[in-house]
Amino acid sequence: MILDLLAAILIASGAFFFVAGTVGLLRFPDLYCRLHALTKADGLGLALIAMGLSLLAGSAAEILRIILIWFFVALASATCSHLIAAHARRVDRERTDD
Amino acid sequence: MTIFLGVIIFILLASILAGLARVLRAHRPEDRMLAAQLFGTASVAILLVLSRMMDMRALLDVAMVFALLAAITLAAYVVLAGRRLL
Amino acid sequence: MKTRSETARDTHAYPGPSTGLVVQSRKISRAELARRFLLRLVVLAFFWTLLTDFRSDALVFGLPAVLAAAALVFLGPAAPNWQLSLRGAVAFVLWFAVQSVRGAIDVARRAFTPSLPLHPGFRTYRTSLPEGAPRILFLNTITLLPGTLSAEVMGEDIIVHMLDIRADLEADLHDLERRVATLFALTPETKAQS
Repeated sequence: MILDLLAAILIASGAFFFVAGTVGLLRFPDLYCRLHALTKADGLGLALIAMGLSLLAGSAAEILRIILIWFFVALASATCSHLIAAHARRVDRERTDD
Repeated sequence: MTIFLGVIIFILLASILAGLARVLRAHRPEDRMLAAQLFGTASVAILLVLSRMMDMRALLDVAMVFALLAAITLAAYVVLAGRRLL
Repeated sequence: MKTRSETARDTHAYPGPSTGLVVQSRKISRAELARRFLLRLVVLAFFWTLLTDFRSDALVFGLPAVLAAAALVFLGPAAPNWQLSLRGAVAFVLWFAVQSVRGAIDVARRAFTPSLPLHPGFRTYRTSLPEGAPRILFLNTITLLPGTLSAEVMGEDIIVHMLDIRADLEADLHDLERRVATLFALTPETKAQS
């Protein structure tokens, strides 16, 4: 029961950070600021949801798999955000050259 | 718990859709890449919750594939778009 | 574009003279290579069995795949042998967890504040970390720290995008750099060389 409650709190706060990421995406003025919002807020959102679901998981194998999925996403998202920012900067330079 | 998870999925879906609407109205094409970033994380979260709610372990495998593909897709997009730049 | 590729090639000459930190790395021997192969074999086999719910019939595909993937260690240039310090790793992971939570709360607070408190801009930071795993970790951690995002790398200069340009970037990144150096057991070069 307490475990369920703890899981619910973790999952709800995870969803809260996803909403925060989207609000940032809608309100922030440029691409780079929006990247901050998506990478940081959504990253923590997924981590919290994964933790909450691990508490509800039926088996150890399931928990390991959830952790593995989270790990892949976490590993990729910072690198992806760097790739997007670097690409956008190159496009910016190209535009000012014209 | 099922209702609670359903509400969570609804919130996550709404946040993806709102983000997508914003990205589609964006001024610069690079903003579309943000959609990939948003999708990569949020769709995995939705699948994880859905797998618990429906008690379907197979959805975890779908989430895993999404997680891996999102990163590869984005890297490929950046490389191809960069090549067009040069 | 030409200058970019040149700097990229330059930094491959590792450890460069301008690198402030040296690595305690050995030359890779044949025994070392075999050790790495076995290590990979075990790790990959573990992941395979995990992904297939420990079913033995799945090993028909798994065994060749795992062997082939582990054999990749013999191809390509050998990565330098990073020594991870265990205490450094634990300290780093704990610190990193706290920082990424702070980063997410910071960005959420800015998003929800009606006046939208942002003073975005770019700043440059020159790193002394060697090319390879330490620098990649450094770049990715910058992105998850509060208010900073690694936007571009030009040789040793890292262009950082900041949500608030008035924050003390130099101090934060210097601290992070020190933590990464501790994690990889890098020792500062003697003053005479730099």
